[in-house]
Amino acid sequence: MHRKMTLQLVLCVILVAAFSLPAFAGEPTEVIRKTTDKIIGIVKDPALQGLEKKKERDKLIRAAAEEIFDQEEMSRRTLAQHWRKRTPEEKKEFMELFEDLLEKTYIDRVEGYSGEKVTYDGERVQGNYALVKVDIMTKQGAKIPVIYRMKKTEKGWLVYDLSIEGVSLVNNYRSQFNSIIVSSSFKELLKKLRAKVGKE
Amino acid sequence: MMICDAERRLFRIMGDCLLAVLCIVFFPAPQAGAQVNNSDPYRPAVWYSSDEIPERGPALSPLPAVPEIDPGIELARISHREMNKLSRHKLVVAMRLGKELDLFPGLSPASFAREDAAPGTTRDPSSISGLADMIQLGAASFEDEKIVEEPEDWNENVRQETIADPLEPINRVFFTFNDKLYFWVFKPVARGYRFVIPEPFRVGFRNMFTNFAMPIRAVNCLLQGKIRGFGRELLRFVVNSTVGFLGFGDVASTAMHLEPQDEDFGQTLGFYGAGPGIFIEWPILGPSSIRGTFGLAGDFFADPLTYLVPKTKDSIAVRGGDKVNRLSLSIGDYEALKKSAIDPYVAVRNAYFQYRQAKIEK
Repeated sequence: MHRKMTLQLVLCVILVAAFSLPAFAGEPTEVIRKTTDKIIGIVKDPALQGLEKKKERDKLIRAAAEEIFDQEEMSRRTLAQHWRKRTPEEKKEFMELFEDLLEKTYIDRVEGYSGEKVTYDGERVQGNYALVKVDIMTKQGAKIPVIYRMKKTEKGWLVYDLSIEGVSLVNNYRSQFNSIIVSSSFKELLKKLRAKVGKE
Repeated sequence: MMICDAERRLFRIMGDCLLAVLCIVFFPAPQAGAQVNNSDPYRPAVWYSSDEIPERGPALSPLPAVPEIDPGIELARISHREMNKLSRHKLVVAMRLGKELDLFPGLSPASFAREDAAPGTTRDPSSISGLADMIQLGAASFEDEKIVEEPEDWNENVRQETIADPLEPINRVFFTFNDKLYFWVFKPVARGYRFVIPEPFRVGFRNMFTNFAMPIRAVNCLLQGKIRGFGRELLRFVVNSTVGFLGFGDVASTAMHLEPQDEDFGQTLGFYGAGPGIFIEWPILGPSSIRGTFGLAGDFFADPLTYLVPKTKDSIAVRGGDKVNRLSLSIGDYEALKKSAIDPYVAVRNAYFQYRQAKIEK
C-alpha cells in the first residue's frame, strides 16, 4: 500500500515535470527577453539621458535590435511577389532602406518608453518556426498584445515579423509597397523610401 | 483598376453560384471516390440511340484509351465541393458556438481538422485545406495561431489579405479631410483638455464611459453564444457600478481580472461569416467598412446613451466628450503610425482590416 502510494507520487512528479516543461521559457523567448531588457536598459540608462546623447543612444538601440531581426526574410516577405523580379542590387538597396525605416520607427516607439511592464505570455515552436507572445502593460492599465514571429537560422532565432494588437508589421508594409509598385513602379517605391529615411 | 478587379471578382462569384445551382439541379452528388468508369451507376455500359437495336456485327477493334473525364461528374464534383464549403462554414460557426458553451469537451479545432483529413476518405484536398483554413480563421487564441507561414500565404496572395477598395479616390479625399480635422481641431482640443484635467480623472472618465456601454458588449457576447463573456460583463457592471463608484474605477479588471470583453456588432456579423465588404473612410468617424458601418448602427441601438440622451445635440456633445477624453489618453498613436508609413492611407486601411479581423477571430 505504502509502496503503491510512493509510486503514484513519483509518477505524479514526473508527469507534472513533463507537462510544466513547456511553461519554462524556451530559446526564442529568451532571445526576445534578452534584447528587450537590453534596450530598456539603454533607454533608462542615466548616463545616456538627454537630447545631446540621442545619437549615442540610437546607435546602441540600433545595434541591439539588429541582432534579432532577420532583415532579408523581412524584406522578402514584405515585397512578396515583387521580390523575385528584382535584381540583386535592387534587393540590396531595398533591404538597406527598409532596415533604416524599420529602425527609425522602432527607435521612435522605444524612445516613448515610460516604465511599461513587459510580460512573456507564451511561446510555440514548430520545427524552425516559433511564435513568442508578449504583453505590454501601459501605465493607464491597457494591455497591448504583441506577437513575434521567429525563424531559426544559422545565427540562431531571428524575428521576421511582429504584430501589435493583431496588426502584422510585414503585412502592413506589404500592402503599402504593393500599392505603390502596382500604381507606379519599384523605382518610385525606392524614391519614396529614400525620402522617408532622409537619404535623398 | 480597382473597380475592374471588384467587378471581376463579383462576376466570378456570380458565375460560381450559377454553376453550383445548375449542378445541383441537374447532377446528383457523386459518391466519395467515385471513379468515372465501371462504378458510375449512371453510365450505361454501351451507348445506343433509342431506335437502334444492337446486332452482333463484326468485332470492333478496341478504341484507343482516352482519359475518361465525364463533364457531368466533373461538374457534380465541383458543385458538391462548393456546397461542402457552404455547409462547412455553418459547421464552423456551430463548432465555435459549441466550443464556447463547452458542448464538446476535449474537441479542439486541430483534432477536428485531423479527423476531417483522416485516411481512407477521398475528399477533395482543396476543400479539406479550406476547412482547416476556416478553423484557423476561427482561431480562438494564441494556441490556435498559425506558427509556420507558408510562402503561399504571403508570396502571391497580396490581394487576399487586404480589403477591397473601389471607392479609393473618394476615401482618400475623406482621409485627407479627417487627417486635417485631427491636426487642426481634435488634437489641439484634446491637448488643452489634457493640460487642464489630470490623468487619473481622464482614466476614470474613460472607465465610466466603458462601464456605461456594457450592454453593447453583453448583447454581442450573447449573440455570439459567448455565455461566459456575457456573465463576466454583467458581473463587471455590478462590481464597477458599486465598488468602482459608478464605473469611475475599473475594480473588476484590477482586482478580479475581469477584463471588458471587447465585442461589438461588427464582430458579431463577422462571427456569422459576413465579410467586410469594401473599405469606407467616413468623414469624422474615420476608417470603416460595409460590415463595420452596419456594426456601428447596431451598436448605436444597444448603447444606453441613445435612450438616455435622446436629443441629437446633447448626444453629440456627450459622445464628443467621450471621444476627446479617450483621445487625450492616446495622443501620439496616430502620429507614430503616420510617421512610420510610406502611404499613410494604405497603412491605415490595412491596419483597420487586420485589427478588425484579429478581433473577430478572438
